[in-house]
Amino acid sequence: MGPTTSEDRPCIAVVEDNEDNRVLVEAILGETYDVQEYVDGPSALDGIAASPPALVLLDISLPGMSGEEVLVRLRASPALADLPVIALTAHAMRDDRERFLSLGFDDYVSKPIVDESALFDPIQRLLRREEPSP
Amino acid sequence: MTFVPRQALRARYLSTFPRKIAEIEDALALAARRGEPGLDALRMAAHRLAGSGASYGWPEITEAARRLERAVDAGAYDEAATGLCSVLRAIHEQHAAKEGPAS
Repeated sequence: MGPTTSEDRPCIAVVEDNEDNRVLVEAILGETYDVQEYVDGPSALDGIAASPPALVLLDISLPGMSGEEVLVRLRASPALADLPVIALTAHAMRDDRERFLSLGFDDYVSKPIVDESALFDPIQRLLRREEPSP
Repeated sequence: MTFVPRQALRARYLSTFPRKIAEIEDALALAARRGEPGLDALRMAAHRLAGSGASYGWPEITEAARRLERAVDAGAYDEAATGLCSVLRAIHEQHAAKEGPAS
């Protein structure tokens, strides 16, 4: 498991340009995890490098630097290459999951998030370092 | 485990509807004048609403926003854009007074 706070709560970085979704994710995860919020790729890369979280929730459709490019840069960093990263996307295509896993994401959560377990389950599984469920 | 957004969360989201409607209308006007920059703004506005509406308990926003995303790609988007604005206005009028200000 990655870094923790003094209260022993794992830290989750949320990279999402849509404030409505950042507020929502903080509301869902905030009681269980410390949540670091970033609004774009460059600030996320700087912040994650300075204070690595236990896991990253990464929006795909970020303005400027896309989520896919952020992932490539994280994977290229020796210190951050093994960080679990979950793709967060509203594209909702049938083969999204396979596509994002093949790009190097560890899992995939589709938006809108209407089920807390859809967010909690992959986070908890990845923090336990388990393989993705089929 | 269905997520039930707290009242304060819904109220905050509702309070942004006038701005969201203005963004869609501005993007529509820009698309009529200059094409692609306006279409990009419409796509972005629709994409954000598609990814958030149902999370806050309003799946009709997600449905109308997805219709707009498809309509922009198809090149005939006026009706879908005004439709999405109508959905936002109707929800805002129906719930704004009841939900109260964001806290």
